[in-house]
Amino acid sequence: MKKLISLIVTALMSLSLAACGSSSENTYVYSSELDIKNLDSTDADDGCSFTALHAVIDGLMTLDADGNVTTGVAEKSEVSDDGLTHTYTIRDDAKWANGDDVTANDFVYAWKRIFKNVGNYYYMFGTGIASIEGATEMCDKLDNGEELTDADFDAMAVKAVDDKTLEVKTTVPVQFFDELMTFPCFYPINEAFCEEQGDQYGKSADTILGNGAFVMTNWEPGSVAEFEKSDSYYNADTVKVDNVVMKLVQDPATAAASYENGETDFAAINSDLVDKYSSEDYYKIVNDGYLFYLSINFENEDLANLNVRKALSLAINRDDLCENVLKDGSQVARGFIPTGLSLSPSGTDFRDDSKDYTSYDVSAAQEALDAGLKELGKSEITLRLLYGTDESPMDIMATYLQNAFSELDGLNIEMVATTKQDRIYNKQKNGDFDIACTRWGPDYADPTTYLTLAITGNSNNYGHYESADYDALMDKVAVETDAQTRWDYMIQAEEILMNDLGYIPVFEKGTATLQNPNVSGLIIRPVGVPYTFQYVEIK
Amino acid sequence: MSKSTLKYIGKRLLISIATLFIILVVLFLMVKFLPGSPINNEKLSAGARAAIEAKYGLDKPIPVQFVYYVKSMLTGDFGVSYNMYKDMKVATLVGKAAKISFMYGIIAVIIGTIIGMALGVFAALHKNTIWDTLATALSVLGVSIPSFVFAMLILIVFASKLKILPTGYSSRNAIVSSIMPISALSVGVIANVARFTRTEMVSVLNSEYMTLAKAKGLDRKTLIMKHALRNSLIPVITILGPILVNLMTGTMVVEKICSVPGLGKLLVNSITSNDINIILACSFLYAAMYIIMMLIIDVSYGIIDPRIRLGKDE
Repeated sequence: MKKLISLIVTALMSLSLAACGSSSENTYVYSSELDIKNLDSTDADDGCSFTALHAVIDGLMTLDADGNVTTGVAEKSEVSDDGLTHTYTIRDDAKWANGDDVTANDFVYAWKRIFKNVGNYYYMFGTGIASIEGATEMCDKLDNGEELTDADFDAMAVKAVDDKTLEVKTTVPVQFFDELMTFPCFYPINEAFCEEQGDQYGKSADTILGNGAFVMTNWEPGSVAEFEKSDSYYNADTVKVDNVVMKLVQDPATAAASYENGETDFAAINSDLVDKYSSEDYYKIVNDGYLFYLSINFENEDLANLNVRKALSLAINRDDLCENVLKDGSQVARGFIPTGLSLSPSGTDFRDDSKDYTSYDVSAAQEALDAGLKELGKSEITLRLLYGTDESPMDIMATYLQNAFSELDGLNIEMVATTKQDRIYNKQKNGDFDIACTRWGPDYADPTTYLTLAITGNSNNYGHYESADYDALMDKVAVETDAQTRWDYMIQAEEILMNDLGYIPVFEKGTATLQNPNVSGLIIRPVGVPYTFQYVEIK
Repeated sequence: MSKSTLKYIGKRLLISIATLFIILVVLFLMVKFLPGSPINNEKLSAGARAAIEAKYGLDKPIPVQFVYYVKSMLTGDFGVSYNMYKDMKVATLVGKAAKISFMYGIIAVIIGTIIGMALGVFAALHKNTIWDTLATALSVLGVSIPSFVFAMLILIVFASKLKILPTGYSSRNAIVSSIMPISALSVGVIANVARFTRTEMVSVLNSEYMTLAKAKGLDRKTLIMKHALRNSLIPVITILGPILVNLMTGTMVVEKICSVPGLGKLLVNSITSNDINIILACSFLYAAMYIIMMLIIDVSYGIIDPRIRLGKDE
């Protein structure tokens, strides 16, 4: 019996040792509720994949320790006087982890590959975004289901002048071109390596080759991804941790328990756990960058009335929705451009430079509705509220709005619950909706990523909001080369849109997280790559 | 093996294959008619969506898609993931996950059986005493409380409070990090096996041949180990098959709580992200497991006792 007891005690002791000492001291552990889908920049289209991808690959431009855009693989970024030609000189010490030099061709290859493989992000190269010469034509062909020819690829104005010089021509001046180059779909791919891997490229730790701060050593889908500091990284001095571990698909409750156990340095939690942790110093809210808003169908006679739209916006108690219902770190939306998206030439956030357009006032809402009904000559109206049940927390938002709108006399709300796909591609696209609960995430850190949604004829302007003044301003934004003037135009454009209530902003999605206070240098951005590990330092 | 036994096995095999095929058809139709689509990025233009659908052959009529699917399935190719793990082979993903789930299931059954039998024997030997009541109460609790509640309990007590177990699975620390999920899964097995063993043991102990053995003057140890336990074992073994299948298929929530990258977690996540090829492969594997287990049980029953043959047999 004594033997047995001592055996059990020894076993338990070794267990507890094993539980504590599974990783080395200088390892940063990050828990994610999501999984890495893919490390191929052609296909990766979600934040978790972007985070992992950026751990191993740097683009032409990257982020500095403060999260600002700076040169990455490129040592120099030049723009011609007319703003149409961007020339990037690639650093001599930029190497792939296998020792190959990073060349201009790696970019040409990677970008064209996105069109070749019909990747999710080909539209980023076309009009309105990167506006690369010849890219819009290819986008249009893909959109119409046509095959691309060699001539189409040759016409795309991205050229390797020599091994170290990449030249890109755009059809209009693109002020945020450098910023765009931090987005993963513009990352380079080592052609020889990629061709060798064939269709397995980017699908395991062995089939991804990087040029970045870390090398991926292990990746078990649904479980873990492990990275080791890269010795060949040109900026290796800035990398302070030896290893990074991404724990994948962690249940929020489990992630929180891991955090408390000291097994992870970063855990995203859900609204059930917020009350428990919100007073702790390690509780932090992260801005996801997504704007949740209402898309209005202007073909609907009742909604075409400005007073009716005003009534809707005024009836929403956004504070209550964010703080008491969603409770996930979401913030009230004060306009159509979310907080933290982009900075003015003088460094001010767009939201701080522009007005607040949302407020809550039930009696004012009722007055507006009464005025609207009078103008329409009706005693009451019924509007359908469309939402997808498979896109959380859209269902919570829709239920909340139904209650809020029903407070108003003379307004009836009918709920139309469907799937996200049906909402967008059948109902909204065909104008079969009145009010739709919608969200939009930014593709790049410029207000136009949102403002283009309201331009007449834009393919995502499902509600057909039309304003000649707005369109005229957006035309000026597209060609203006002076950064401050362009910024002012965008502020004016948002004002027109918000005064018209072309869209009704509701909230900016956030995530409640637990973050180890002894860790510094995690760069968090609401656009593009959400988390950058390069500068993480453990005290 | 006699001719009729072989014939019986062949017949059962054919029925199983036919059942699997019907299941495949139904599953295929069900996932095709699922609302939503794996390709639902709101930023894709209609043309881009069509191009991606064409790449995966989703634009073809459903019967054609089914024929393609079955054809490639027979060569071990279950297609690629559309959404969760973009373009990765489903066979590899499911294979890796199944290995972990099956391993957990088997270990939980082995551990559960040993402990459960010990508990059952103990209760039977102390029939109608406080020990028996206690053991019975424990097994009733074990049967009625779902395994994920135990997983939560273990997580709170051993991982959060005592900090002697890690909170989630890690392949580097596979043994230690498997203690929590396997213990949670074993509880149900222990309870079921204990209850069954106790009942069997009590009836064996009351049988006449036990009285005879006792009258022959055998000592208590031989009496229990050689005569009573062995005779009560046979019926217990028969319940292990279904328990094993239930364990392999019923681990979803435990896997989610313990962050185990197993089949259950893969299935749940594939359903939420509408990844139809993974849903299909996982559900089909579950169905196949169940049917294979049933086949083994039917056949072994048939061999052990030819009277228990399902279906007509001359």
